Amino acid sequence: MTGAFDPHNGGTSVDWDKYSTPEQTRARAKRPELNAVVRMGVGEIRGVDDALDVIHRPLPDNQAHSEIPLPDEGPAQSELRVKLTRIAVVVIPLSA
Amino acid sequence: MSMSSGAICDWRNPALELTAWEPHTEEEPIACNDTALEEEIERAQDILENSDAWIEDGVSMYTEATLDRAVAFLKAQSDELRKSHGLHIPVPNIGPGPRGTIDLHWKQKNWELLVNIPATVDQMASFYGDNYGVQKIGGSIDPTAFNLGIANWLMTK
Repeated sequence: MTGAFDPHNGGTSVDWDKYSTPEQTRARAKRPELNAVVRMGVGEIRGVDDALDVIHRPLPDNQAHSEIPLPDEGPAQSELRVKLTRIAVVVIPLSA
Repeated sequence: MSMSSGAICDWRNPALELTAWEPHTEEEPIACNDTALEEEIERAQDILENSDAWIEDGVSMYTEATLDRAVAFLKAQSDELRKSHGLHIPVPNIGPGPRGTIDLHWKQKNWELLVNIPATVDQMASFYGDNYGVQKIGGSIDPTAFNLGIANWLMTK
């Protein structure tokens, strides 16, 4: 599940569940059938590490779009991805 | 200082029969015969088979070369630990990482370790592990070689 967090340009994309259901989030993937959906609380994310935050960055076609700033590579990225998987709860499993 | 006893040969004596060292033959690589590990390596081929799910700018992010490097790293740790300690390494999850990289992820009862194999040949692999407490390991390593720090972590019960 560590690959669920795919940072580039300084962050990894997530959806805010105020504006998107898990099904809608999954449907936005290029191959929805190969994707799962996990849920994480904003407070939990911010509590994992001082470096972590969640920022609402809506896109023209996705009001829910938000970002968790993460390094594009390196040991710090690996550490934060491990810690994020620990608070992630699967709401739509793979091949569901 | 102590010395063990033994015959001393005069190397200047022409009658002395000199024998050469046996030529050093390259050791046969030890095949990774851990069935569970081989099964996970086989399953990881799915990353390439489903690579059209991760197309960026018309090109799949995941290549056979990157997966091969990840498997080679895994086997280097496995072979060396089996040879030196007779141990089998725990089986990681081999999965897609960010931007075409490959994740080797061990999630054990008492510790967790993530090694991220880069998508480019000349880049270092990054890793992070902890024991769900204060003990941590992390940094950058050569993904083409056996690494004692990683091996020690893999031997942790």
